[in-house]
Amino acid sequence: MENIVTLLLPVIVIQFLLLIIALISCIRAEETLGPKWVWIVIIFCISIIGPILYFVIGQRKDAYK
Amino acid sequence: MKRFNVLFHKEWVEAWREKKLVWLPAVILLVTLLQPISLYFMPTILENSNSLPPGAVIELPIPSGAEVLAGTLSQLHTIGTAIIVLACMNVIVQERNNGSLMQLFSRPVNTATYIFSKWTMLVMLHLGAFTISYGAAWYYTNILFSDVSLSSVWKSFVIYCLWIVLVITVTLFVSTFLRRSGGVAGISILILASIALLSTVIPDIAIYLPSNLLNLATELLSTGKGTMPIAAVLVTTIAFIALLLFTMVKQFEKSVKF
Repeated sequence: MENIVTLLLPVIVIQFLLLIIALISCIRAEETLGPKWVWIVIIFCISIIGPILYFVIGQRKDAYK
Repeated sequence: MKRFNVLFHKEWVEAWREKKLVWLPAVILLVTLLQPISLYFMPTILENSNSLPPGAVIELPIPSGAEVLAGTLSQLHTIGTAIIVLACMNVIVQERNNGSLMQLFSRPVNTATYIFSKWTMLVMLHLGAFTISYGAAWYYTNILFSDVSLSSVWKSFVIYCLWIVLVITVTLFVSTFLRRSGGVAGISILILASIALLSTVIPDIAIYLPSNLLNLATELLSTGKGTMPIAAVLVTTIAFIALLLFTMVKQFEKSVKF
């Protein structure tokens, strides 16, 4: 059992990192495409794919603010 | 050259700002790492699943390291290609739609410089991510399964890098034509899929097509040297990439003239 945990540790760490970065970037963003709370729910509830979805289609990137 | 450096630097800053610099390597690393790990734990997973009748005996042969790495590559081929297309689809379209392109080209900026700054940055980012994840997958394969020699891993790595460059180039090429990022992703995947389809429809030219790169890479992994001619597919792929880059610059020049 310990074997499984040590092997999966990098995967869990990366997944957690992805979640945290997506959350921080979502909360700090002035505006997202669509309601912000929906994105927070998506990032939390769908593992791996949720953060990717946010990064790819959720961010609103206006060059001039 | 100075203008190129400025634009190139801007690309990196932008990638950091939208966190692409972080999520892209992380996602590709996850995709590649999960393959050797899930293969290693497959017997345990099957044992603990409830769908089997009691007393069922499953004997799975332990795959060799080369087979595991080949599986990782084909996993990356399906999921990774989609992720690369998603990551690249926005780069030109967004700037075109929010008007910063117009402002940029009111200054004396060459379209070729602009395209190449984007292309170089994307290629460096993706190849960097692929290097890290392939290295990690190789490390995991070596400790969980059997050793794979560095020379065959190295060869398959170089071959597969070409496919990644091709995916980036095709996506950028399509985004110089279309104005919607969803359309860019759809058409790019369609083009890449039709290359693969072409190789099954006309098997005679299959060895020259870029879709052969994956087969070549997996073959190099398992045997160390391929039975298929490597030079043919290398030449056509590089020529295809060069042609796409050339047409892209020409087409883009036309579309930004106001």
